[in-house]
Amino acid sequence: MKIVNEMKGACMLVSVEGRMDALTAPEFEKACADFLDQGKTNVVVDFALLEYISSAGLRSILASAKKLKSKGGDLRFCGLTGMVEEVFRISGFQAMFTIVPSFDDIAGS
Amino acid sequence: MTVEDNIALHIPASVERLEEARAFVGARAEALGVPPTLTMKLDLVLEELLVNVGSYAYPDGGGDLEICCSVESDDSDGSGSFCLRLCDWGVHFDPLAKDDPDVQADMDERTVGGLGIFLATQMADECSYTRTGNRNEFKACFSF
Repeated sequence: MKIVNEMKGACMLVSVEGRMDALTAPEFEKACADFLDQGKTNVVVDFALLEYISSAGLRSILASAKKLKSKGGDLRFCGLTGMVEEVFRISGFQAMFTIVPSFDDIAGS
Repeated sequence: MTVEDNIALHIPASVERLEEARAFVGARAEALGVPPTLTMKLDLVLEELLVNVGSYAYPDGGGDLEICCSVESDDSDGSGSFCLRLCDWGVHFDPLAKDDPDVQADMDERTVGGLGIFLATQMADECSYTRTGNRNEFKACFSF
């Protein structure tokens, strides 16, 4: 799994590539914890290049989202495709989070 | 017709062995003629089951897991089903006995975790659990 992040206006845009599974998901949670430490709490995650996600990935996403929310921030998503989109739908994450087709669709970005 | 595969992978039930388990199931699926479109579903179900055995069947760690695969095909119409079987010798644990998580709940109501077996049962077409003696067996089948 590869994580690339950059500031885009007021948002931290995080692109995640590859597989988010039981072995790699903690890296995502760590990255979000680092953003929080830096005071960057508006995080947008681009999953266009993520090909696989398991419940371990969902766990790290929910844990991170709760922490960001408690500091007045949030975690939003774009670029969901294939099985990643299916896992989001089945788990109810699609309804729970703000999800847009691409980063350009984020309001105020 | 059922093609029972007598090739099994016997490994410690540890998430550290996930890559090895995934490579094994991927190779068996390919050898048994399973279409690559099923790969991601198989990967997901395998991961959730492996993690589950590691956490619940062997809460103190240090147990073994056996993985094997089979294909059941209907010769009349060419349809088939690929079945993944995971066996362990841990404590009696039926993952299917658990209530489904509330996937309608909002973020504040949700607890972190508890989605693994639910995802696995949603992705597979058929799941069953059997306890025989001191052995847990979980079977997940995928139609193709």
